[in-house]
Amino acid sequence: MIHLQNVHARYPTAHRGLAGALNSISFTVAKGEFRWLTGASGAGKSTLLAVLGLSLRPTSGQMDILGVEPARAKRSQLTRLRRRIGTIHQDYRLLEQLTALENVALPLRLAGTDPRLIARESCDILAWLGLAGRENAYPDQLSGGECQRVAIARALVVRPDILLADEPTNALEETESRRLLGLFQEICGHGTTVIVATHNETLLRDFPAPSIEIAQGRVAGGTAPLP
Amino acid sequence: MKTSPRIRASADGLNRHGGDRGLMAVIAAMAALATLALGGWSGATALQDHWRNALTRTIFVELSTTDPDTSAPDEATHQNADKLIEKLNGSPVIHTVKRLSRSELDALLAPWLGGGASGTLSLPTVLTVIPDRDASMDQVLHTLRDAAPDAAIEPSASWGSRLGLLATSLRISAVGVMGLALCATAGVVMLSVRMVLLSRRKTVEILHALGASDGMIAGRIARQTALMTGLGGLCGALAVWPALTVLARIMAPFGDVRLSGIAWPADAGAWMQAALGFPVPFLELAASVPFVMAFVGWIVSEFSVRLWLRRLP
Ligand SMILES: Nc1ncnc2c1ncn2[C@@H]1O[C@H](COP(=O)(O)OP(=O)(O)O)[C@@H](O)[C@H]1O
Ligand SMILES: [Mg+2]
Repeated sequence: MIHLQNVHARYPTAHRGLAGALNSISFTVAKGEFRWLTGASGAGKSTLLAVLGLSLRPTSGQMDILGVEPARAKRSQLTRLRRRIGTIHQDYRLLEQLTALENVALPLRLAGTDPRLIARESCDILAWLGLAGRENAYPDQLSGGECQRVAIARALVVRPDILLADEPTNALEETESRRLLGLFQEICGHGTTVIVATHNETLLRDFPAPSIEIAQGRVAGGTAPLP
Repeated sequence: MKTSPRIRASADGLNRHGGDRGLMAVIAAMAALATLALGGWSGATALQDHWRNALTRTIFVELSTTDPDTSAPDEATHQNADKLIEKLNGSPVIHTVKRLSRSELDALLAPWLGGGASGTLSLPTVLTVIPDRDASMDQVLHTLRDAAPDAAIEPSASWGSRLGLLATSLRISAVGVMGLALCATAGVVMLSVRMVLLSRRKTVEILHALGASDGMIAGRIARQTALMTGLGGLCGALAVWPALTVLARIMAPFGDVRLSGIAWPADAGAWMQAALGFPVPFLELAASVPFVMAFVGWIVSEFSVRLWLRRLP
């Protein structure tokens, strides 16, 4: 479960101290739910996903992620919590020095998975995403769409309890996008909470689901019940 | 050709490449300095022990000859010496008295005159007096002056304490140099770790976000740094070894007068033997230099990486 109450967040900036990004965000997403996160470019979608993914610390407000209050949790607890959250970043954030397969295997290795399983599971998910045969390619040898699929594979390979996807289909073909959304809805059925940020109207229409709309760093509406 | 998919054991984006030779070179220089200082410290300690035990406990008594025209000891002098020895051996403040034999005199003078010099020179009769352990130097000198008013009495104690002071200051300087070398090593490691974190900032942030603990990241960087500083330490210690061998040769006569007659090692084999022939305690200390460097590299980088990671949420 994800619960936010009056969460504020700021980016530290060099010249102006703190840049305002999120203001008084409150919502709840239950376990196994799918949510769209909508809003214009610059509204704060990526910032909100960074807060949910524990890579940006809110400046105030209450948060509950999978039963943990990050503001009060110990550092080691946060580390373990991060391993239960899969994030697909808008800019992929792949490690350039690692092959596609090694990038995908990384979260499994960090989680201490049995080494014999790591290669198999990583290869399987790459194959599902149409990257069979590209395992040994480095990110700079891959196209934008291929990189995005590697990033998707890396987020999914640990079977996370929360999946945060930031415009995960913007480099994909339409058929690939539909297939991916189908997969997201399927893993929701297995208990994963999925939040997908997008401004793709076609997808929103084709996959109707509750949404949270962000405008200028605030919750501006949406079809989901607010707490 | 298609290679089968493979996951490298160290595939975490934190492998260090090439650019760290600078670090290794600086660490090697520090290790060389520390090893030299260690050599100085060991040498000074050995000399101090030697001087304290052998030299400062010994008083040389040079008996004047009865015939003023010749400096060669004659029969009368010999008899006087025997009587004096007997008398002094009975004194409670004196441990032993003996006459220096010709060969011992040779050895003693060798540093100044070269080996076998006494054969061509006429030398005075010299007694060595070792005072009793509990006797004060004043008491002993008093006894000696009473017994042999004409003799030239030369207590090496004052020299001994001066040499001892010299050795002590040498040792303090050596410890200072070692301390400086360690501090410089720590500083260089800190800088190097900072550079690694700056150049790998994105990688570290990604690993952190994927759930790598501070310990994992710090441990990984620290182990690599330790390996590098350890290797640098080994190179430095080995590089300075020839210089140490030469220095030890130069210092040898100060510790053992009989060594001065020995020439420089003649061939490579003899040099090798000299290079390996250091006292075991020093060899042990020198062998620890790479490990100390590795440890400093490890602990400093663990600490600085963990500190830096604190800025991530
Ligand atoms: N790293 C950052 N540092 C400072 N300001 C940022 C940073 N990332 C985003 N912002 C600012 O925060 C606001 C929200 O950005 P973002 O969350 O990326 O919007 P969205 O993902 O909805 O397009 C924008 O005004 C943007 O300029
Ligand atoms: Mg964005």
